[in-house]
Amino acid sequence: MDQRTRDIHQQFVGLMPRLRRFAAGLCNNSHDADDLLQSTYARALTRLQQWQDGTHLDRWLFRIMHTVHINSRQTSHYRQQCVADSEVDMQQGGDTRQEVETWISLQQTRRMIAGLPEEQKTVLLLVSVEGMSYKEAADVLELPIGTITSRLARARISLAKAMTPASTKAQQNRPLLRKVANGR
Amino acid sequence: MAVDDSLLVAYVDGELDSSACAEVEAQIVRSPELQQMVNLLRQSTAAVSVAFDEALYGPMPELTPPAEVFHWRHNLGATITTWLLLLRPAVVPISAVALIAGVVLGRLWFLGAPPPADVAQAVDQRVITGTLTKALEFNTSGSLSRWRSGVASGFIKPLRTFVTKDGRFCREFEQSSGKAQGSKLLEKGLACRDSAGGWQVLVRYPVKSQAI
Repeated sequence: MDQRTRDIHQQFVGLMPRLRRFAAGLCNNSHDADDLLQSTYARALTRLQQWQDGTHLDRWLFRIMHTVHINSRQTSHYRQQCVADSEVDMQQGGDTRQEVETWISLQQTRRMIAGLPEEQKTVLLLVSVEGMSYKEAADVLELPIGTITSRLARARISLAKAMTPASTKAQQNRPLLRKVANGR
Repeated sequence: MAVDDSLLVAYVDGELDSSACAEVEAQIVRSPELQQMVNLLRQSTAAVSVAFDEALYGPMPELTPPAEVFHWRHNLGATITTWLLLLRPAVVPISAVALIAGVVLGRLWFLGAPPPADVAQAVDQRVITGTLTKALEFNTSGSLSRWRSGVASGFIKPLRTFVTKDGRFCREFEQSSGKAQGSKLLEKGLACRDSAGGWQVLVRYPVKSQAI
């Protein structure tokens, strides 16, 4: 390893917890997530010539991870593994536990996120989990900011609705029930 | 200005400039539906933001540098020599035996691995471990960290913190776990810093079973 590779290696180690969290969100399976982390590391080190000093290393690495993930999903083996674990019916995620009140369990939240379309999930993970601004997420995914905004809005609204506590859902239904009663 | 979903989400994320923010706020004040949606968005965002935090803690996987790629790119001659050495007649049988032994051992290990008898319990355990690591890392003694996984829930509370004679940081902790309505198992334990910078639980023992 030359000096530049060693420097990037050091910085990669520092960023590893965040990259691993992003991988966990993309794969929803810790084994695949660690494989994705390793593939990202390997690809970053072999493509160092693409990295421009002075730009954001973290965004470059997140971009590589996303690309590796998308490419890997196109191979059937990986798709089977990754999706089999995360295949979830959105409604089921929201309603499986009757005792859901204000606190949504980690497991349920992960299942709901896994049930989102891939492109919405990626934006959600960058902004709501990694804490990036819309502009930073647009930079990572090389997309216009408008696309980021609309994908994020769709993801967040559907999650918010799916996480609506049972009691609130009942309240929302109340006027409808009253109307039916009056009409009798 | 009509407040659509994108605008509302951008407002919750603090992405609007001050004038747009003021306009959206003025509409939120007037609309109970928008207020409810903002609350829901905030709650769900909080849940999403910590959903994968387990991945941040504990030992990180070992990274393998792509050595062969470097050899191939920068030192092709040496790589070819290495392969030729490996393919010498004397080395081939040894390599073959090693390969077969590896496959057999790997198969035995796989067959011997216990099946995930109770997946829910395994997930609970991961949530508990994640909460414990986080609590030991960041929380002051006596403060409660609640965890929940499906119908199981409980808390973790760091108790005493001390340094051993050989300079190792250790913390005692209290942990409760159980189903929503049932009795909770109360345990105490001791965790110490390991060489990788994480926390290793050295002992965990039940204190008593009680209804909480």
